[in-house]
Amino acid sequence: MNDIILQTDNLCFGFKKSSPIIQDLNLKIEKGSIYGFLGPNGAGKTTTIRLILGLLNPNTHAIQIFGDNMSHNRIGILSRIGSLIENPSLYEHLTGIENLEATRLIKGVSKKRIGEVLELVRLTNDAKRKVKEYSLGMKQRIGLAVALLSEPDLLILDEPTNGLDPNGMIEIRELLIDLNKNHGTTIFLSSHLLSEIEKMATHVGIINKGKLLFQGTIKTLQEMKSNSAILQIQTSDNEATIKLLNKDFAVKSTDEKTLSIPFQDRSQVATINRLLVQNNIDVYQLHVANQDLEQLFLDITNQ
Amino acid sequence: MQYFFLSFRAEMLKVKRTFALWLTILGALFVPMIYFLIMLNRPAFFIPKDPMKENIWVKYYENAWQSTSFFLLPFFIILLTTLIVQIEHKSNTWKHLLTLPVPKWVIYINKLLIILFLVMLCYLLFNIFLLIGAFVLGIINPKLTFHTQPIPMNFLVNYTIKSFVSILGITAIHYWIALRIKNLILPIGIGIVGVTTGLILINGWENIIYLPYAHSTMTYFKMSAGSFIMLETHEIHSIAWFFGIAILGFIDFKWVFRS
Repeated sequence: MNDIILQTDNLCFGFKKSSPIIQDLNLKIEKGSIYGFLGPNGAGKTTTIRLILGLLNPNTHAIQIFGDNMSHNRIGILSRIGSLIENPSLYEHLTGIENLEATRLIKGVSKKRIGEVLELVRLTNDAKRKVKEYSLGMKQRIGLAVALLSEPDLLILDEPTNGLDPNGMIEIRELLIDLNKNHGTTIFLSSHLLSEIEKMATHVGIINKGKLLFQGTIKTLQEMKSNSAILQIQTSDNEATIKLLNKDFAVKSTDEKTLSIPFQDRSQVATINRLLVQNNIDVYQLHVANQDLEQLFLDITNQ
Repeated sequence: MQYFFLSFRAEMLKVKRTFALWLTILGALFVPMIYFLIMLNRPAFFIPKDPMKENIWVKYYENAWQSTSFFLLPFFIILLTTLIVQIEHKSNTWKHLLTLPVPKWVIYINKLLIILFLVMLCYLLFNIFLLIGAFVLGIINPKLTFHTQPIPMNFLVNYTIKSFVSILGITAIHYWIALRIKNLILPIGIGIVGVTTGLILINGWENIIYLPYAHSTMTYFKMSAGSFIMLETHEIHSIAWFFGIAILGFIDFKWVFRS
């Protein structure tokens, strides 16, 4: 399970030396994982994906895919990858089937595979219509079908649910989870929405301004979340409160009235309250700030 | 090598239902159609005064080629090349094409081959339409002696081949321009400027031979003047332009081009 499918070592890239877009990026993607590549718009996600796929040349030869280097074995590597970058690449004057056929011919896949991938993305009935007439969700799905033609070992998807309605999102998500579970496809997907990644990824990498800020399992990220819960309190005597709690907690005053105290365990909230009451400090407000993953993501990317 | 042919088939598939395909067919039909109408309504100019000395076929072909070579043919090449490359620009598919497991030269050469294939198709259809038009005219008006006089096959084949050679230079040039300029209008504008410059300078500028946009006109002049050299100097230039620019374009495509 711990085989590394894709690895970058201090990957750097920039159109100008003075303003690098990607800096010392060390990605590690394990076989069989769903790796969510997370970051705000403009963080360098698409650039990273373009570098991985060889559409851009990195400043260093730092990318290893299937244990091989792009500059040595470009075709061998690409034949095992399916990809979908930004908006789907489709010929709108052709039908869904013809779009699949144009890629099938080049990839040398058997003809019956077209029917299979159409079934998989549930477009069998619309396959003979021109892509021009497709909705955005259908285009995204046929784009995914194109990527899946060669039964790739690694699927690289750039914002696959971008612009889809909730139903479309769920469909794509279920499809990807199914591919991962039942076909063992390793999936690398980027998104600017944490909630999206959270629902399917096993691993997460967070990128901002070209730098990787976090990389690990989704579990580790969730643990970080519980570690960073914050208690907000308002008391009759904030100064005394700080004095009292400073030994055990990192108390900060957020504004004139409110103090914020990071804690790890809910029992600590009760301890704090008891301490204050015992010391004759009136507690006006005691509030556990709902530090969700979304907030954590913002905190990480705003560092 | 197999993926070379498979990729060519994929390129063929993409041309389906495009305007480029219609342009090839309609472009080939245009001049034969015009001459059909002219000869139907005003046959006098074409009816040979002395059928022993004058072959109506030669006059017919020369007129048709004259109308074609100066402007229509170069413009067709420019438009076709741009439209074929635009299929990828418009669909945003370069990034897809360049992540498929085929070498870049296969993609580059196959696109160029598709363009050349359509150009050849256009020449073929042009000749077929001219022949059909002539046979029908000969039936309608027997004074147009198409049925009694021999078809100068030599002339027809030579003209077609030499004309094809003469447009190779601008084909490669505009293939590169179309790859590099994602906008549809600009390559066509550059082409119009090139062709017009050629037409203005053709009579009098001694270095016109170096302007690829004028090569097809020059082939017409040489042919109508009765020269039947296998390859005229400007035609050799056209071939040199073709290979030179095609190679430079490929280097650019492989190392610099970004989707």
